[in-house]
Amino acid sequence: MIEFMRRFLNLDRRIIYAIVFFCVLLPLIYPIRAKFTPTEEVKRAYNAIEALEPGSAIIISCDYGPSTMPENYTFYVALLHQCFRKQLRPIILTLVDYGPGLCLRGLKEVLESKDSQGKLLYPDRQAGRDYVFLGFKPGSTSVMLGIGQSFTATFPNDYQNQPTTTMPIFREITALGDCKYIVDIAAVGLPEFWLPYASAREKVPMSVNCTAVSVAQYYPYYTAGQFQGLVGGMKGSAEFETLVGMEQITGKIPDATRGMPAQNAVHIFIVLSIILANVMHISVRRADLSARRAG
Amino acid sequence: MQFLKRRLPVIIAFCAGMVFWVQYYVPSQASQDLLETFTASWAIILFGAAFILGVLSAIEHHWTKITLKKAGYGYSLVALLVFGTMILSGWFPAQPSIRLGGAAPTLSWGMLAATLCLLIGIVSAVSYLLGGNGERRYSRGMTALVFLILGAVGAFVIQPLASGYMLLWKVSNPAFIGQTIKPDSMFMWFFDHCFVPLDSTMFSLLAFYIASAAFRAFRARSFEATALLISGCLVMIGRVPLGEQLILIPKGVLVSWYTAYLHLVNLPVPPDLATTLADLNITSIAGWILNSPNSAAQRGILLGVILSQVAISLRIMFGIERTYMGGGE
Repeated sequence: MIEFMRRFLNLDRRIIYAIVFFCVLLPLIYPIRAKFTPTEEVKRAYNAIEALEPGSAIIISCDYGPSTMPENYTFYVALLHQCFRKQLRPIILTLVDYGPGLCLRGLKEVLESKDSQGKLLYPDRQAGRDYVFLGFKPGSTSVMLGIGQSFTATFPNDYQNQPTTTMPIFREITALGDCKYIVDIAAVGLPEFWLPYASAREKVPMSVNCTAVSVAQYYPYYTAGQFQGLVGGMKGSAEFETLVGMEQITGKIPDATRGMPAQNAVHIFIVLSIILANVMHISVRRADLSARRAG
Repeated sequence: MQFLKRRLPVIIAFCAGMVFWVQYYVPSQASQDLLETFTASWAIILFGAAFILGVLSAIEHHWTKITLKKAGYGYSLVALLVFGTMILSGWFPAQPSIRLGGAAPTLSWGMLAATLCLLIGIVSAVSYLLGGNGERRYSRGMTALVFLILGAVGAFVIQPLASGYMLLWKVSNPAFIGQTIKPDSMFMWFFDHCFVPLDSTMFSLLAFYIASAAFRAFRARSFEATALLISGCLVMIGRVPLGEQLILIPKGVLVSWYTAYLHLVNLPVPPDLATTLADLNITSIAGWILNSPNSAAQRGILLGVILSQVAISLRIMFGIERTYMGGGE
């Protein structure tokens, strides 16, 4: 038995890779509905945005890349649906150079989304009036401070090269202080900069969507109330999708929710493998110790 | 020279540091204007210039590797080719007449060929300018010339002149400055069909490595390691839907225990006790770990980081810390 355990502890890593592969693949091929209820952190973010008056401007900073799409992009799409459904006016920008492509893709996806009868959900939304995509600008903190002074001075043109000075949205919303909310969708450490340089400085409340890896580092800000809501990882995004009612809006299971069974399976496998490896490790160590004592 | 290399950067760092430190505490309009001028123009221009420096530095690094044929120079060649392709592809518009495969919305084979010609031409030109021995340098120069002409002619011949999307037209037209990438451009095709899947794949590989590493290295060897292991497992399960299903103490039991405790200490039982309490499951324990012990530890780390940032800033301002100037000091 001890020999078997010893051999098991030196298991070929390709076997572990294969198990992980099937843990991801099988739930995606044979989807099982994972049941979950939104947590307080996610509910607070959703409720804060839901409580905004129609027509309010909301800053959405998309600071993530393709590597974290299941965690961040899914939230971005759900957030845009919430904004357009509530008739809020999102001002979208990105502070990472690989961000514009995904911002544009999400915006296009939401604007072109249709209901179950094939009608466009948001046919009358106009760029520059109901939303604006400002694109990327280098110098994260400078951009935050810059839009605190003036949107049009910091971004003279939007992503489509249209002058921002002539846009109806910027006639009322001149600077960050005129916005009612900030949401940072981040795979990098930018929420820690959005907080002092934008949210606290201009007294605009904010929420954060981040990766599951980085969620632990933002809890101090959440518990202190500096971040009103904290949507962490793919589960957070799935909870947000549930609150927005993405399935009812688009008529199909949203992406983060669809990924939950696969994540469930992989987490269970990793935890079980850790427990099993530790039990075997302790047994082998005890056997070695008693063998040494005996002989 | 010594003044420019050593003293001037320290003077600039000191002045800039002092100005913006004082500015924060001065609420006047002039102070706000100064900040606006800096943030809306200077700083963004500086960051933009840093991008150009970064690009040039990356090109130089890879080019040196290729010319010296260092180990793995083939990767550098691919990196430069892809780099150039992405830059040039951003300049080309959609071409509705010719399609590359079903998935590509509007990608022109002709423009792709022209892009590659220009790319080879530019790489050869850079190689020619960087120097080298006589015969090889001559051949690089000739390659640059031929491919640049091919690329430019290709751009003119394939695209109708009236479309106004010529590469040369764009470069020479002031309206091109600040031109952005169109959703159906070749750049976006490369971004959606190459960059997005590649980047996602690289990150996804982490799941496999983490699973293998957790199995091999996550051992309860000491008290601290055991505490980390238990809390790690609880958070991992608590962050997936299963955590909610694993109920440790049902709500009914919690309510009865709490009611018994309140009776014991002679306190009134709140009428909404049953609605305020919930099942004790793994998710709620994970939530407590993240909200309480984790927050406390993170705050401690954060304070340490901030204090050291203040110390480093002061060291830079007063010229004690000079490593940012380079030179190995």
